[in-house]
Amino acid sequence: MESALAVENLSKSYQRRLRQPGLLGAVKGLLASQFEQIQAVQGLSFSIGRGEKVGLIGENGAGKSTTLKMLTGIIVPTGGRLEVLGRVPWKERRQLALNIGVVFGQRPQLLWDIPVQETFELLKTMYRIPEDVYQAVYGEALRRLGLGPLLGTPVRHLSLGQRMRCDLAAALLHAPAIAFLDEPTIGLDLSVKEQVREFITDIQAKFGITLLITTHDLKDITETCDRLLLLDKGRLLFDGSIRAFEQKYASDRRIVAETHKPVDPSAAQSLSRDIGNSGGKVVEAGGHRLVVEYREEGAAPTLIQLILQQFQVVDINLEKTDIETIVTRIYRQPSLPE
Amino acid sequence: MRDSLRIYWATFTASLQAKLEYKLDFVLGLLTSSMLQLAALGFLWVIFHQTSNLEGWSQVQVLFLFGLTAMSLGISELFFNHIWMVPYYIVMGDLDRLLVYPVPSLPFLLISRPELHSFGNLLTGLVLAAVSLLALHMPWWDWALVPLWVLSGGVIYMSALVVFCSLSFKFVGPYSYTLMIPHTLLQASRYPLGIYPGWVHYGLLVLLPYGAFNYLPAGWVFGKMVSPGCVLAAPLVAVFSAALAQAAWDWGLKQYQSTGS
Amino acid sequence: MRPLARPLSFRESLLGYLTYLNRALKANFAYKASTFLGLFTSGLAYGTSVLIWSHVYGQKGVSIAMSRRAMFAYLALAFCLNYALSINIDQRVGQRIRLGLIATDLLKPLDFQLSQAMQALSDCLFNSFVGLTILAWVFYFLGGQILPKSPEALGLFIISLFLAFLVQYSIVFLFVQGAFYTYSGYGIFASRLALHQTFSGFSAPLTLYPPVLLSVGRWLPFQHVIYTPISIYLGNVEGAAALRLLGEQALWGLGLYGLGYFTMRKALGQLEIQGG
Repeated sequence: MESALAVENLSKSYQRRLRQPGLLGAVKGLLASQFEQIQAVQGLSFSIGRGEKVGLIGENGAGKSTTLKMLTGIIVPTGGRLEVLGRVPWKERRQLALNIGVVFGQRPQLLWDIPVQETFELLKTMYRIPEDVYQAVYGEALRRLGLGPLLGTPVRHLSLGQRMRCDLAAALLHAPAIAFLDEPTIGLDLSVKEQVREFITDIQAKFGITLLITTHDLKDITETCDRLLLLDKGRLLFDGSIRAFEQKYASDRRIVAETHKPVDPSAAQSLSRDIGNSGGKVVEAGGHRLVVEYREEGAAPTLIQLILQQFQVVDINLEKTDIETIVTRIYRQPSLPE
Repeated sequence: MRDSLRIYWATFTASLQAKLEYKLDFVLGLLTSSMLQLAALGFLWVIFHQTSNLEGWSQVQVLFLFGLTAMSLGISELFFNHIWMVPYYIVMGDLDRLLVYPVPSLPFLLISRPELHSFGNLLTGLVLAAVSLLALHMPWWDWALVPLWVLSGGVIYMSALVVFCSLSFKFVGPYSYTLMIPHTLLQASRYPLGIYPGWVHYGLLVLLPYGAFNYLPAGWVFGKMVSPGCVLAAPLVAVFSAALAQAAWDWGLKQYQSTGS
Repeated sequence: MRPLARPLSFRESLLGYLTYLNRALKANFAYKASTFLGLFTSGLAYGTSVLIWSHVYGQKGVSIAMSRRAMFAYLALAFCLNYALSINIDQRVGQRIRLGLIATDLLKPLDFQLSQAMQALSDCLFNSFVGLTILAWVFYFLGGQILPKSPEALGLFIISLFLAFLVQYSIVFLFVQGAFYTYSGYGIFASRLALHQTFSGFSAPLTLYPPVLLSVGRWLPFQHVIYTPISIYLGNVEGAAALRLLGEQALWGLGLYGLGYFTMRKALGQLEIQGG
């Protein structure tokens, strides 16, 4: 596969001024400042092929935005190698800009006081967008994102959600080779989020755009991406398909049974002994609820059989940890098993 | 090149058109910049209430200096005023947007936010210069040269702002104070420079060459200076300072890119 | 159920206002670069008028109803006073109004106008600190010329200074409300500045003004920000006349403060009808 971007051992650190507390501290700060070194990104390596759809996740401060800013040439890395479409972003920012589209969801802003429609026309000239591409994206944006009524309004009069939609359309208007979308659905309501994802998926499929999305809403990624990068404290923690991610971290599977009579503790204990050999464990037994946890794929039939032998079951469910739960759990852990 | 110019022009006209739709803002813009000019005239009035000339310049002659300066300021505000927002963008981290467009960042930034109060300065400047030239019965070629000086003046002043602004990439502050320095000095430059001590006089001719578009041309018009260099100083200095501004901007941007997070 | 909070007592609100003051002072110190740059810029503007006057005094055959030293003492005092009383709630409040954030400010259990006044006062205290340092320097060059004429003059001046703050703050607060009606923050700021520069006596004592300009200035409040306190300080106005001036200052101050209160309420009322 042709490479869209390649990152090798990428790092970024910067200084932050320390503010001392209190009025006295403020006076001191007037005379001398102290700085602390912040390591935003360290030793990042990955590569993405043309047309791939990749989600970049991580907690606040994990280094997602910094990474994105380096990839788009806005800031210069302090170490490592970085190539986007065969160019070094911060050196050849402008040539690269023709081939990428960027959305900063936190600050949706088209620099102007001018109406959305005029902004689009301007971008058309600026990026030398062919008529057919323009019409295709523009038409799709009108249809999917409902931009029609907003076109005549100056950007400063739009609401956050409206601005976000216009911003997204503007970023994809030239059907760029790579689209960097930093939280493209932030602050949107559920139905609009859905529209946005559909729009992204459609345009991506039509033009084979390489997608790199950062987000806190994992649905953005499960619905639009195939591959996942997980950043934690500036380091790359996981790189692989969403399925592989689930297999790696979603090790817990559960059988949840609802019993006819309240669960008898001693019966639960004996069950616990019986299923131990099959890799199961009773994690909850109380009231009408019995929960068994297991790890290995394919153990479920045996376990269910054992449960049915000892209890009169009204209802039984198989549960797999969803990706949100996994990610939340990863964030909470101080350090992770590799 | 022609493509770029077309983009700049389209950006400029669209922004201006959008701004002109706010009629109240337009009227206010006209009023306020005229008021600031009037305030300066008020001080001039007080001064000339006490004396009959400044370095041999009569009050009507000084009006021409005021006029040239105000029009240059107006040109700069009309075409290049967005530079005032940059310190604010830096503090808010909003400069990033500018860097992902496939056009040269400086001219695109400058052109994309015309300011309505420019018309007030252009208008008062025009009136002041016209009053002065009419009252002193100056010949037609003096009138004809005014646009050349004023356009160059706009570029020179803009370049000064860009240079100072590029400095604020390094020394970030929450207000546009760095830009107030060239702005304040512009106001100082509209009096006959000869009244100042030598270092200020030559500072405003060489270091911050505002004199090139007000003091020298006006001196030539009123026969206080004879060198034709006084006529041509403005456009020459404009070209040179624009190049300097671009270099300073590139330097500043590099600072921003390597310190940003 | 938890009982409703009772209204703040006087002491509690005072504490609240003092918090504003303290916070703003800290912020002032934190932005050292811009603080110094701001001072430098106003120094430049002031330096221009000093140099121009200096040139005029140097001319032959010019007679001005004020000695050169007295003039420079006046200008130095005017500069320090002007610097001390420069209030930048223009930007702060104006922007909050334009962004619609003003509503959240009004939710705090303190009076908005008064808490902003506290913030402005802190700006002024900080600036006075700087202003006094400058005066000490000027004293080195001009000597006794810049000292108050008498202890009484100093006493009256301190009262006048507070009234000058009140007038200045009330003017700023009135102008800043223009942000409810226009996007042009610069326009509002600039029109106030133009009036202030022309009529406060910042760049020359009003007595030197041409008669027409003087008679306009007499009907405006701006003279009470700079010209009035300095006249009292230098003892150019004494006794009953000085007290009369203080009375005028107080009337302008209270009147404009009240007007600001009234217009703010009105503007907010309209805001609610439009739904923000």
